[in-house]
Amino acid sequence: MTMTQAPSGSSSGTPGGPLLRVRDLHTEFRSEDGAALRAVDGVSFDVEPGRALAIVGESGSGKSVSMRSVLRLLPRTGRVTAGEVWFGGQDLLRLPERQMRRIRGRDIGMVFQNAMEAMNPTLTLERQLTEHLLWHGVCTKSEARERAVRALGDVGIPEPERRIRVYPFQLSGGMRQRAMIAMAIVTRPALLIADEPTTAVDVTIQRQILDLLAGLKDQGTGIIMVTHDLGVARYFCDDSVVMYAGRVVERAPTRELLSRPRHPYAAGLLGSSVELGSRDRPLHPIPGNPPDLASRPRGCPFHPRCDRAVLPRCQDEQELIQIGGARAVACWRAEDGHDDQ
Amino acid sequence: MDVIAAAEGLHSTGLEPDAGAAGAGETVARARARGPWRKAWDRFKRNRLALISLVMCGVLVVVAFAAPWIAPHHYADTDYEALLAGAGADGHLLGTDQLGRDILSRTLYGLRTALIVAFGAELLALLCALVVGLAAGYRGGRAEQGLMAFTDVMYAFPSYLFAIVMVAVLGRSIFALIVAIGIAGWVTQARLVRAQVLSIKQREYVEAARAMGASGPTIAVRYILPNAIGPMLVTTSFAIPAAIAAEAGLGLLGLGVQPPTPSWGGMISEGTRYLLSAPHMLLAPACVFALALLAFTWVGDGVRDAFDPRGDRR
Repeated sequence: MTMTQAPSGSSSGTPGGPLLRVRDLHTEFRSEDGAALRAVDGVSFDVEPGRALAIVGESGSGKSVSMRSVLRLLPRTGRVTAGEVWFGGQDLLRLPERQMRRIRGRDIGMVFQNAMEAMNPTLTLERQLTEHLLWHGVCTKSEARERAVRALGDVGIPEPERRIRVYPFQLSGGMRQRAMIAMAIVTRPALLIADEPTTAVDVTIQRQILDLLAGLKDQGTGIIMVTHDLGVARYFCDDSVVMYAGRVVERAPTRELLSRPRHPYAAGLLGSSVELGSRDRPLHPIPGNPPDLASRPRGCPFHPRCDRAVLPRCQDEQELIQIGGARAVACWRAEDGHDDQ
Repeated sequence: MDVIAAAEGLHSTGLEPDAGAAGAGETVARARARGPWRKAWDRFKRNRLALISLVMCGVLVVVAFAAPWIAPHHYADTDYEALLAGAGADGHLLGTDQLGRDILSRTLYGLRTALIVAFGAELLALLCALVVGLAAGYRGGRAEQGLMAFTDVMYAFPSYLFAIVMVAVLGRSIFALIVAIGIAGWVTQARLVRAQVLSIKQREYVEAARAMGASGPTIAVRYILPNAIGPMLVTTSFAIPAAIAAEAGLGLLGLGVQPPTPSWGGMISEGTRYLLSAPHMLLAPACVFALALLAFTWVGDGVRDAFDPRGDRR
């Protein structure tokens, strides 16, 4: 059923509407001493079918936690305290666990950063690729094998008929990463969440992985790419969301974001990127460190590191401000037309 | 069902040469399916002492099961014309005891008792340990606290004393011994299983399995258990000689199986009483006992080395 139809708007509530609509997501972690740490603080974004969204931020900015909140895979200490996650006409945060389990892996696939770690060392590829097809009752056992072989072929693994018999540790790093993508796409999910899929692989393989994901996007799969690498975002993500300290600080079409970032933090990320900096532009690393979640600064979380901060104005809470059609920035200085360069 | 499937998986990866490997071209020849079990077996094979011990254990098991056919006499048959006869007396290769019973036959039947008790107890212990350890480690929370508190109480209890109480309550049968030794031994293994589960639970492939929609029991049986089984196998292979010794120990204290069913402990205990007049009564069971202990312990050594990743260097 799900696999024969093209993954498109049909699985979202309103045809033609976004595939995934996250609204005002809040996730907290309980620390050892019982204090609540806000890891995700009011995050909203949309993913359209056939488009890719990059979620960019430093480690600890809450991007991975947001994804795990969407899939409800938080560790025991984590809890979504507020928000809505609309997918296929349902709020995932209010689904019973049984139904949620049917969505994971079948309608929403996930690709992990480190394939060596993310594959069960005691199962052959065949089992890892077919098991969830069988759990979800997507197809019969013999069909599952065929589909697994086809998925391996689709991700560019040569001789998939034979490779399907091997164990993950018998594959090279690039092969393994592709096999994991095959694992995620064998059910033809409408939405694919990729958590830094290229961080742990060689640059030569990075390009192949990205091309592979771009191919899926062209076939109508919605993709969320969690990354700290703006180069990856530029390569194939249509839209970008920049996160800082659990909040969205800027949301924009990727091209616009990279050519003219409006939030000082987004500008700082761009300025400290080696790949994207032009030769004549010196690198500008952002001074300081991301804030500790336990002692978050008042107001805009970035203001202590921001070279354009104006006190006390920046110590007030800052909402996302819509600027232009598709852009939003959480900085009051962007509103009054201040430019960065 | 899942357990059976997992067990089949063990077999197909551990014992049979991979069917696909034969037809594989040279490009994938290296990628032949050599599962973790196969690799462990390869390492085990390289350890000659362990391999010989394994053969020895196999022989012991076969002899134990074939005892009724191999033994020249029944273990309880008394020959009043040859009381305390020395080794080589007519019809009694290893002599007779104070009641004229054939020592060789009794030693063979004693082997049977020892192995049934040891394997039975270990199976019981392993089962308890897996259920409690998996449940505690995987569920976490209050279930874990409760189970582990119970395990700690059991752990604090002297295991020999516990076994003695069990035998006293259940009577001196093989079943009672299995229960006594099994229940006295599962605690350490349950703690090990739990520790394994806790560490494996943090691995990314468990999270990946959940992201693929796996249910809790599926993850426990298909993802956590197979990855915990190596260390479990190691402790189990060391626990078997320990259980053999425990059975003999209880026999020595007079808490073994009901006479006249022979147990090595009982035979050794009787043998000490006639140590000066008929030393052969002590020697035969003691030697076979030592041999069995050594063989099973060396197999345990081999299993440990096989599952130790550092063994790769050899």
